[in-house]
Amino acid sequence: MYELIILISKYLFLFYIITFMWQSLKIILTQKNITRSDIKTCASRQYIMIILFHVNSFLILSFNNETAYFDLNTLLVCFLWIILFTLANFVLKLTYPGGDKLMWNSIFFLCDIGLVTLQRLNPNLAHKQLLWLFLGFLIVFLMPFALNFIKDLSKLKYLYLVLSLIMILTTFFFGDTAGGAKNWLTIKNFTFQPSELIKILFILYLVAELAKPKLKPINIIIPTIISGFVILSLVFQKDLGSALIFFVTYMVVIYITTSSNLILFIGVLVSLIGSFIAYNIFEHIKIRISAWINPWADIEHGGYQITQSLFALGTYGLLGSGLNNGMPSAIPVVERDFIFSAICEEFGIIFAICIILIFLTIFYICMKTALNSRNRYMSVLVSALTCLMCFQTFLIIGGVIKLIPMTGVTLPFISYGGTSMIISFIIFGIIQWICSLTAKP
Amino acid sequence: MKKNMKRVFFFYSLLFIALIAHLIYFTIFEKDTSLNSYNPRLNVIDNSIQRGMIFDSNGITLAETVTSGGSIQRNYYYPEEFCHIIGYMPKGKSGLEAKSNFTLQKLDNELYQRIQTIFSETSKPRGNNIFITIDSKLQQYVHEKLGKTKGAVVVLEPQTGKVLSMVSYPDFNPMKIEKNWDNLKNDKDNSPLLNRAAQGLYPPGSTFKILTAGAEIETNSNYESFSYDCEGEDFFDQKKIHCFNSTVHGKIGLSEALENSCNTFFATIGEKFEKGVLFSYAEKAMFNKPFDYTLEYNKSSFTLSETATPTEIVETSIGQGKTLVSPLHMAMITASVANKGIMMKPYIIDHIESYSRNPIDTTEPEVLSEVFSEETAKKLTEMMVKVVENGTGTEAKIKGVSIAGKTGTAENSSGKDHSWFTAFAPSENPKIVVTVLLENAGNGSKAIPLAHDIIKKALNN
Repeated sequence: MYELIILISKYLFLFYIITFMWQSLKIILTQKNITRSDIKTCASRQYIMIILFHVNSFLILSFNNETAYFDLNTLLVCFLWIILFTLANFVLKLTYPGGDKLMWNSIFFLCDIGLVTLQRLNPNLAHKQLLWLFLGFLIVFLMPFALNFIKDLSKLKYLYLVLSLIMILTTFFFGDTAGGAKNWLTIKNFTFQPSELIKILFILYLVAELAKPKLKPINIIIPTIISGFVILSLVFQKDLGSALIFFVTYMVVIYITTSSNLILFIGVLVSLIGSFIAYNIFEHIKIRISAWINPWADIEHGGYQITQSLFALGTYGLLGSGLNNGMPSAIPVVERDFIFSAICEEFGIIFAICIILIFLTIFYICMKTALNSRNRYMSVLVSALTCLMCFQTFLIIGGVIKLIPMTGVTLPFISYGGTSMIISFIIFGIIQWICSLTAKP
Repeated sequence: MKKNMKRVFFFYSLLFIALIAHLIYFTIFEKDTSLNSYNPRLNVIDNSIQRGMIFDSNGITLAETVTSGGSIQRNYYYPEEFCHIIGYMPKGKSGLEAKSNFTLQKLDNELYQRIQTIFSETSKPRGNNIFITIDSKLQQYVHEKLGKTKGAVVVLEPQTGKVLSMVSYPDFNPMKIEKNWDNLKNDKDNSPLLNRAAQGLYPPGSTFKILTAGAEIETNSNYESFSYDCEGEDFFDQKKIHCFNSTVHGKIGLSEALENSCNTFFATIGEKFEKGVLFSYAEKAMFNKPFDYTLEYNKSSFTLSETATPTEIVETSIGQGKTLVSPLHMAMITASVANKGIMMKPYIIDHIESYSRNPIDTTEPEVLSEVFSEETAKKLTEMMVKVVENGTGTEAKIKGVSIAGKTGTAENSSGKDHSWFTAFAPSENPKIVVTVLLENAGNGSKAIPLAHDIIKKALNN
């Protein structure tokens, strides 16, 4: 019976996510004045789909097939999240009156998929993740008060600069190593990844410098030197994923603001030379690259992670094994870097493709916000933040499916991780706030 | 500025589309990468379902999963006879167990089966069943005849490419795989896990002359009038080539040369070929090319480059040199002569049925390559019949049946010569192709009696 319910749920999950996306499409088309649907109805259908997905998967996860009892702890997590989501659904429009409903729904759906997957993989982490979700929601709910008070974010640029430099230096001297990269700070029992926080601070600074209407060469050179310093220090902390994201974001900002093809060309050149040097200096990059080119050659060591990930993708195919039926725990660091493989395995490739499309929907709305914003600084800021998240998503999904070499970064809103979760919320909080400002008459 | 933003977003959209495209490509075309012994999932599924069965061409059970007292076991009813075809589990998987794993695990009508299992406590949903092309009686016979000789036998149906029998020795018992695993894995001298019939690569020796003769017939319009005076040995660009036992064959043409496997004759025509002729025939005969065979196999190799020295050319045209071929591939080449010059794709899965005997898939014969013209194939057949009637293969003669064959003695670095015999019968209407390879057996004649017996048995069925 249990197996049967899992089997049926496999198709139900697809129904939920496809209906969700169908509503997304209707909303987008209506906003573009192509069709006429009631956006509110569509959004509330999405809300229902998320709740159905959530309850359905938690019922499967909380049921113990041997004792035939439901686990109360799991049901509590289920219930608490429904409260959180429902609350968010009603109160976020108070602080973000012009915020984009579709974006909120998409973000919370991703969070829920992450939570369900974590509950499946490691209930302890799911409980913590729920806590992070609450915290993230609270911050994002209250953020507009601070933002409305500051109003012009660019005026604090030196504060961002100083803070990010402090972060970098403290990690350099007091950082802990995890997964080959020295990018963790531990304060008593509390650990966090400063590079995640630097992301926002650095971009706030960079955009403040480069979004000025009339750029003189000196205005470009100074931020470039500082960016170079930040990126190099990340490289030496062996946090190459973050270094790459920073570099690409820097290039995007400078391309958008200067429109210079020459700078773009130099950037590509620098990145080629940089990767060549990094490849020759760092042993772990060599391992990553050879694991990417032919993971089967060294399946027991260097290629272990990626081959296990590919097994998760390939064994069950388009429809997946059904929730609880796969073996995602065989993949190393599945709760963080490889969570996408776990989703592919149990929910199937079609579901996974839908997740990529949900990310794309979010980035589409962000870009629309950037294009609509009449304030130059804010417009560039939104595109920079979007590109940052976009590239990070591409890096990690591309890595686990072996499209590109693996870099250990988190999948926004889905991977386990407090810092990553809160920072992602803050980033989209800023974007929604700008969206809200733009929407005001 | 906004234009640049649009460009950037367009670029990122492309990246995301690449992700989706790659995922789809991976699931459709690279699914087989999951069939790996390092993938722990493959065995877990077998515990929750009833893995499909494997049957021979007459519907006799070869492999099935039985559950007794809570423990699940895979039973093999002809363990040694079929070990290289069906393979083993659960110590990783090999053979059909690995290559057709998804078929055996695929639940037809899954929803219905799941509902059914609710009402019966003991049964599990059942996977699809595989029917192979091999007749277990013939397989048993071939296995028994090969006995404890290192080597391989392949029997094919030339018109379809059906594998009728495929045996390799040393073998192993898949029922005792877990107990004997370390010994089997570490036995580098005998490598019992290797399927010599499809994975073993050997110098073809004189059996390669079939191809050289075919090339001669098609490229030299005067081949019938060409003759050569064999003195038992000759020099070709300082390389001394001699016939087997330095036998002097005298003045002979192509047909007599093939009949007696005259090395100096074939060295002479090999030297006369225009550059690339032999290579193009080797490629037509699927050397260096994959042929998408269900089980593990190794590609045969032919490496006569444009810059090959005369010595290499001469050695290659008589089947020595660097050419390597698997017994399966030699059987395919022979089958192409038997099948009017057309090489069929070899296949071992006849059809697949669901648990309820609904047909799921049937293998259709497929043309792999046109090696020779029909005319050439006819000429070659006539010559190969003479090999068995008066030449090096007379031991293969069967009363009332006309057999076409070719012997081969393959010099090699591992010790005594390998012995080849490849044949098809009846020559006027070929029903079977038999290829025998015996490792380090001495000369070509050792393989002939074995082939003789197998042809006799196979035709009587």
